[in-house]
Amino acid sequence: MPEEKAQGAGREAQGKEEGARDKGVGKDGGENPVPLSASPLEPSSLAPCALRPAPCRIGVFICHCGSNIGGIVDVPAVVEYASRLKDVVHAERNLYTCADDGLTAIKTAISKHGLNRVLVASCTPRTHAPLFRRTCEAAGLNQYLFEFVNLREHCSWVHMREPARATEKAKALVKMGVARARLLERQEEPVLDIEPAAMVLGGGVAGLSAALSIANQGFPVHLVEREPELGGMAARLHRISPTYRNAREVVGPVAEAVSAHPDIRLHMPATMTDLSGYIGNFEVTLSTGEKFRVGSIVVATGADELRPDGLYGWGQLKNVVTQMELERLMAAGPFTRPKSVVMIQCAGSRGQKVSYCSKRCCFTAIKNAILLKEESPDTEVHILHNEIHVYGVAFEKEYRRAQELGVRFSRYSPEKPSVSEQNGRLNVNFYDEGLRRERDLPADLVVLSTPLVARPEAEELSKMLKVPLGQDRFFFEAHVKLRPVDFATDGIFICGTAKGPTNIGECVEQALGAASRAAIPLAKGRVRVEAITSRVNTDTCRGCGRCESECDYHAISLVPVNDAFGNRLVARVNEGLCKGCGKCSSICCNRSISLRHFTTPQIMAMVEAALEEG
Amino acid sequence: MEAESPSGVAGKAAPGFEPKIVAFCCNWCSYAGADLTGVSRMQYSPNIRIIRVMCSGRIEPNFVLRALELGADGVLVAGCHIGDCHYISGNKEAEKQIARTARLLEILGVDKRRLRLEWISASEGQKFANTVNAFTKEVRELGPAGYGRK
Amino acid sequence: MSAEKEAAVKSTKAYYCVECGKCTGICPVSRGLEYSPRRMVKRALEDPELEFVRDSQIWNCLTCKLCSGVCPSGVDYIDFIRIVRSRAHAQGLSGSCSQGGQLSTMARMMASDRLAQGRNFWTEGLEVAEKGELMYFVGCLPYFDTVFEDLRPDTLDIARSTVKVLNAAGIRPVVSPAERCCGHDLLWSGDVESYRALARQNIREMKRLGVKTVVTSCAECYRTLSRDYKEMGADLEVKHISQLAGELLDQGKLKVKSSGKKVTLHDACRLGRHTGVYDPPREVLRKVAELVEMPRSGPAASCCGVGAFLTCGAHSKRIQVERLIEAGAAAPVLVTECPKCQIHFKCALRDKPVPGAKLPELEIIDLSSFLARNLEAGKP
Repeated sequence: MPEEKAQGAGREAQGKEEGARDKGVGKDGGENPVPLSASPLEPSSLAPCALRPAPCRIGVFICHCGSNIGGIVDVPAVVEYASRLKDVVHAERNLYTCADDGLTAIKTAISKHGLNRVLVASCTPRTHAPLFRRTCEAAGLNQYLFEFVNLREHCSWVHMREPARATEKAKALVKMGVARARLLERQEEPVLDIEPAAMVLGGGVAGLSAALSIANQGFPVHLVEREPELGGMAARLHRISPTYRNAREVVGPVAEAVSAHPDIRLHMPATMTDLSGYIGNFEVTLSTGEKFRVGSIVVATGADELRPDGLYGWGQLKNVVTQMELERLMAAGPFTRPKSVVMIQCAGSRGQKVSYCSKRCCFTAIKNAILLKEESPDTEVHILHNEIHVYGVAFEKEYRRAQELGVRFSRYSPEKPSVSEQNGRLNVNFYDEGLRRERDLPADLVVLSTPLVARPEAEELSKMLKVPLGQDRFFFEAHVKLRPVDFATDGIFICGTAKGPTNIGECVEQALGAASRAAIPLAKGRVRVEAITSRVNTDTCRGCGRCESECDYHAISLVPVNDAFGNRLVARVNEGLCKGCGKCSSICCNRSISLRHFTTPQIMAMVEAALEEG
Repeated sequence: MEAESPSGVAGKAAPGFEPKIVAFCCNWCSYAGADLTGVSRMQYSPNIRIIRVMCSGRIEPNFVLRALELGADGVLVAGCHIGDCHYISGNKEAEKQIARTARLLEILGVDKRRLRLEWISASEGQKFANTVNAFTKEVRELGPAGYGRK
Repeated sequence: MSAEKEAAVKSTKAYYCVECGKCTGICPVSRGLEYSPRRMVKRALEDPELEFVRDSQIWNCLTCKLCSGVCPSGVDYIDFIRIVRSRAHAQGLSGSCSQGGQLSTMARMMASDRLAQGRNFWTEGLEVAEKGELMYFVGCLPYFDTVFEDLRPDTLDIARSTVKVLNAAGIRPVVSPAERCCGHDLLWSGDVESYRALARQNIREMKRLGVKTVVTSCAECYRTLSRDYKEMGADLEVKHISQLAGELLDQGKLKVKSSGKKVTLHDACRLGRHTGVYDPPREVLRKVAELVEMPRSGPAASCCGVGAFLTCGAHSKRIQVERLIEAGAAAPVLVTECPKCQIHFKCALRDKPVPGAKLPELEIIDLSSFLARNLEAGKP
C-alpha cells in the first residue's frame, strides 16, 4: 500500500495530463497549447492516445566527494539501495561526480541506459546544479529532468558522529529525490533580450575599477555615487600599505579615467530609490528622478569605519583618535610629533561592538607606526594587540620592518586596555600577557584600530535588490568560495568592502572579477531564464482573482475569454514578470495555477517518500 | 494500537523512539542556512528530511497535514525573516497559511508543537542547527504523533 | 466479466442503457467540459478490464443525480460513478480536491483511533448533552471556518443556530467531541476503506452514547448517515433539521415568527434528489418567510456546482453564476440547506466580477440560521 500511495500523486498528475492531451490545444488557443506534462521522450514514442506516459528510466549517481560524503555515509550501501528503487535502471558511485570522469559517467549512462531522468546525490544544488544540468543538456536530456539530492551539506557534514544514521538518512533523501524525479517535466526556458548596459552602485575604488572595466569592454555604465565626489574611503587615506604610495595618487587616476570615459555616465550625488525587473532588464530609478534600464548590476557601496563611541575615551578625551583620523592628521602635513603613541588593536571588533576581525587594521596600524617612526624615530610607538594578523608575504615583511624600527608590540588579554587622563597626559592601562603583569603606558596620542562596519543603507538596498545580508549586515555572496562575487540572484554582483572588510588591492581584484561576471550577459545579448514560472490550467481556472491580487510582481492578470464555459475571466501569467515563488500555487482553491518544477504532486511525492518505511 | 490519550498527544515515547520530521525550507534563506550549517560542520539530529521549495509562500496547509497523516511526528517550515523575503512577501503568506494550519491541528487535537515555523537566514547556520536540535528534542518528548502507523 | 465490472454495470443497471443521451443533455458538467455520462457508460460496457477508470473524466461528475431523473432505463449513474471511482482509487488514482486536498486529508486523519479533537469550542452558552438519545451530528462545520477563512462563511453559525432551535424546543442534543467526519467526501472520491473506518467509529460512538435519533444540518451528512450507514449496520433514525423542526412546529414545541422577508430555497442534491426530502424545508420556511420558488426547483433544481469538494472548475463557476442570477431574480435572500452549497455560492459571489455579467446582491443564509433568527422569544 505505501508504494501504491506514493504513486498516487504521480498518477494524479498523469490523470491531468491525459485530460489536457485529450483536448489538444488549449481552449483559448494560447495559454496551454501543450499537454500539462510533456514526456521526456522523443515525440515519435508518444502515441497521441496513450493513457500511460512512457516509463521513467532513472539514473542515480552518488558522489563520495572524496571522503566528505564517503567518509561518513556508506556510499556503496546507498547505491545498492537506490538500484532497488522503482524506475531506477542505473545506479553508480563516483569519487567526485562533478569531476570530468563523473560528468562523463553521467553522459555515458544517459545514452547507454536510455535514461530519461538523472539524479545526482552529492553537495548542494545552490552551487552545483548548473554544472549537472548543463551536463544533462549536453547529453540530450532536458535539464529540468535532473534532480539533485544534498548528501553533503545536509547529511554527511552535519551527522559526522552518527555514520549509521547518516547512511539511513542518505537512503531516505535519495528515495525522496527519486520520487520527485519520476514526476519531473521537461521545460523550455524563455530567452530574454539583454539591455546591454550596466549599473555600478558606489564610486569608491571598487566601484570605479568595476565601472572602468565594464566600460572598457564596450558597454555603457551608469555609475551611481551618493557623495558629491568619487574615490570613497580610499581617497581619504594617507598612504597605502604596503607600497606607501599616496592614496590620492593611486585613486585619483582611476577616478579621472572614469570621469573622462565616454561610456560611463556619472550620477552624483545620487542614490537608487527603486528597482524592478530581472537580469537583462532591470528598471532603475534614482533619487534624482532619472530612470534607465540596465542588464546587470554591480554593488560596490563600501563600508564605514566604526565610530568608537564610548570606547577608550574616544570623543571625550583629547588625543584619542581612530586610525582614519590619524591618517587625516598625517595627510594634512607635518604635525607636532608626539613622544609616545599607543595604538590599540581590535578596538570595537572581535567581541566588543562587532564579532568579526576587520582584517585590515593590523597592517594599517603597522603602516602608520612605520610612517611615524620614519618621520620621527624618537617617537615611541606601542601597538597593543590580541594577536597580529598580517597575512601574505608583503604584510608580514612590514611587520618585521616595524619591529626593526623599534615599534613595540605587546599582547593584551584577556581584558581590553583602558585609557584615562592623568596629569594632563593620557595613560593606557592593560595586562601584558608577555610579562604577565599589569602595565601603564603614558601616551600623547592613543590611536584606536577600529573595524569596518556595514553601512546602514545596506539594509534598504538589500531589500531593493532582493539580495541577502549576512549576520554582520554586510552583503552575502552566493558562495564564499565558488561564487565570491555573485549574488544568488542572477544579474547582480558584489565587490569591495560592501561584502566585508578587505584591503584596496583585494577590492580591485573583486571589482575586476565582478565586472567580468557582469559583462557576460551583456556580451551574450540574450539570456535564458529559469523555466520555474507559474502556469494556468484554463479549463479549471474559476477566474476568482486571488492570484492576481496576491502576486507581488503583478505577473498575473485576469483576462476575459469567451469559450465553452461562457463569457468569463481566466488568469494569465506573464513569464517575464513571474519570479517563480509559487505563492499563487498555494492559494489557488482548486490547483488551477501551478508552479512549474515545484508542483504539488512533486512536493507531495517527496513527503510520501520521506515517510514511507523501508 | 495503543490506548487513546486525552490530550491528543500519544503519550510518553517508547524508549528509543526516534521522531520523523519533515522540513520545508525556502531556497534562498533557510535552505542556504542549512547549507551553511553543513559547511561549518555544525552537528544536528539526523531525524529531519528537508524538502526544498523556492519560497515558504509555496507551502500549503495540506503539505503539513499530509505529512502528519503519513506518519510525520513533526513538521518544520522555515523561510526568510519577515522583511527579507526573496519574493517580497511570500513569507507573510507562509505565516498566514501556517497559522491557519495550526488552528486546524488544534481542532483535530494534534499538539500544535508538532508544527513549527522559523525564520532562518542564509547566514544563520547555527540557528538552523539549534532549531533542528530543539525541535527534534521537543517532538521526541511529545512521542509519536500516531497517524499513518496502523 | 470481472467482479468489479459486474458491480459497476450490473448493480447499477448500466446494462440497460439505450444510448438515448438524455443524461448528457441534462448534465450541467457536459455544457462546459468535454464530458458525457452516456459515453462513460458505453465505455464501461465495452471495456472488459475497466481500463477507462484511468481517464480523468470520471472525476468530473458532480453526482447531482439530475441524469437519473430523465433516464428511461433507470440507470443509477451516480452509483456507477461511485463504484468506478473506488476502482480508480484502488489503482492509486484520485481526483482533484478543492483547497489542495486538506479536507480529505483531515477526514482520513480522523479515522485514527487516537483522535482527541478539540472540535466543540463553539458550544459555549448552548445547552448540549454528553449522552442521550438525540444527537446533533455537527459534521465538518468546526473546520470550515478555518479552511475557508478568506470566504468568511461563518459556517459555525449554522451549528449554533441548530442547537438554538433545538434548545428552544426544550431539547438538549448530544454533541460529541469524538464525532468524526461522516466520510461522505471520501466515499464519493472512491476511498471506501477510509469511509468505512470513519463510519464504523461514528456508529460505535453513537452506540456508546445511547443515541437513537441523529439530526443533521448538512445534506451530505444526512444522505450518508441515513442511507450509507445503513449498509454499515447502523440502526438509527436520521433527520435533517428541517424535518425535526417541522415536527416540533407541528407539535407546538417550537414557536417562530415571520421575518416578513421574501426568500428562495436552493434544494441540495443530497437532500432532494438523493433522499427525496423536498417538502420539509419548504414547510418550515413558509412559517418564517414568503417563499418564492426558482424556475428550477425541487427535483429539477440546479446543482451548486461542486460535489464532495471534488473537481471544482470553470464549469462549477458557470453553474454557480447561473444559479445565483436565478436566485436573485426570485428573491433577495437565498436559503440553503447544506453548508457546502452555501460555501460554493459564497465563493462564486466574492470572485472578481465577470465584465458584463452582473451578480445579484444576495443574502445567502442557511435554513437553521434563518430559523434561529426568527424564533419566538420565550419558550412555550
